[in-house]
Amino acid sequence: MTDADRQAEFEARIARGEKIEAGDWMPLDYRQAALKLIQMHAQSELMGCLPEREWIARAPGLRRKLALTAKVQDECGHAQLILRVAEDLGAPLHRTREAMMEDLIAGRAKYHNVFHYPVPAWADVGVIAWLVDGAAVITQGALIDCSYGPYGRILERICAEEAVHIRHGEDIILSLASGDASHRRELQDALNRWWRPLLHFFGPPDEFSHAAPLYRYAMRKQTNEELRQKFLGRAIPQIRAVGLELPDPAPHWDGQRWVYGDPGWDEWRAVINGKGPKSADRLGLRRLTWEEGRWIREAVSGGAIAA
Amino acid sequence: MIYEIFVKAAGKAAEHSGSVTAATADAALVFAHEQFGRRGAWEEIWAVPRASLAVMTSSDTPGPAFDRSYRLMAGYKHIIQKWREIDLAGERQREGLRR
Repeated sequence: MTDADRQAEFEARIARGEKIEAGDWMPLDYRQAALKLIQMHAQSELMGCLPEREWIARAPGLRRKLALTAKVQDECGHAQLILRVAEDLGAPLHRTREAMMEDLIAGRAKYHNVFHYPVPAWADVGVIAWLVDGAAVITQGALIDCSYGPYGRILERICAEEAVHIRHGEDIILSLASGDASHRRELQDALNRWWRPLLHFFGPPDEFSHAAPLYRYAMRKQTNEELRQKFLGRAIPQIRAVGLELPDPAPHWDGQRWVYGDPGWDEWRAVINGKGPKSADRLGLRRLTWEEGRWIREAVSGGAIAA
Repeated sequence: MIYEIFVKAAGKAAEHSGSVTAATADAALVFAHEQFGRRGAWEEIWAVPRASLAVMTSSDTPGPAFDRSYRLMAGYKHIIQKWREIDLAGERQREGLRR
């Protein structure tokens, strides 16, 4: 069978809606595009542990400390599940887990924009779990049906856990919303801080060419803008019901879609390239734990390096 | 030797289907195919010697030392009530009417 035959057969499988498995033949551009997406997701889960971790000791009350610890553990577990999928996908390209981690701590790998920002108040912890996890579950939920079977299957489990995280966030923000004026002010300030990064989260509306193999091979089926619109449709009634104001300029429905102010894509681009307000600190901490944890990895893997 | 048999349908995770007795792995696969694969709806069949399985049981591990309901959806039932109190459904409806 020639490569052209294999390519044609692969495309026919995709067209029939079949799932691709780890050991199956796949074109190089599929493997590369899927690996890039999955690796970015894994590293976002790993970096996403850090902003919330900062608040474990300061969370009000034992139950909230435990709930936040459990959430951080879940995110770390998601990173492990997804890295395992990435490892299998990367093996023929000699992309080991260690190489992926080295890329991350050297600042060569991308992770979600939202994890490059500071978490100055407790209300931010609530807004992150409520709306950042809310945004994440929209992108990840859309990927459950992707063409790469091993990734889609672990996403089902991950999304079920994210649903609990969202409830945990709602618990925090609804408590603050029913508090006194200073609590509501703190919550509104947190929402204002996170609004622009949340609009950025889904990526610019016109980045199709960049993502083309992902669409052609049914890894992704919805565009950045479709996902953002879905998020706005879900979040805006909640924000209003809580009695919060939509951050300026407030999005409005024009009869067909949510129209929102220009969120400034230059900021998004700079942030995901490691120039966010907390990028250097967080990566520094990740680098430190990677170095300090090396002996543990070596001990549990019987000498062979493992993440 | 006893082999535990896992059957993987297309696009799905492999599931434990049962076990067979066989002298070799090849024979186990032949038997497993007859038992669990003869209706054709499978993509892969895995045979694993029972002796190769590392097994733990939940009764051997300590249960949670305290209430961990914050890990479960059931631990947040009061949130659904809170959304009801501030009338999220009404807000969604008004949002629909504004459209």
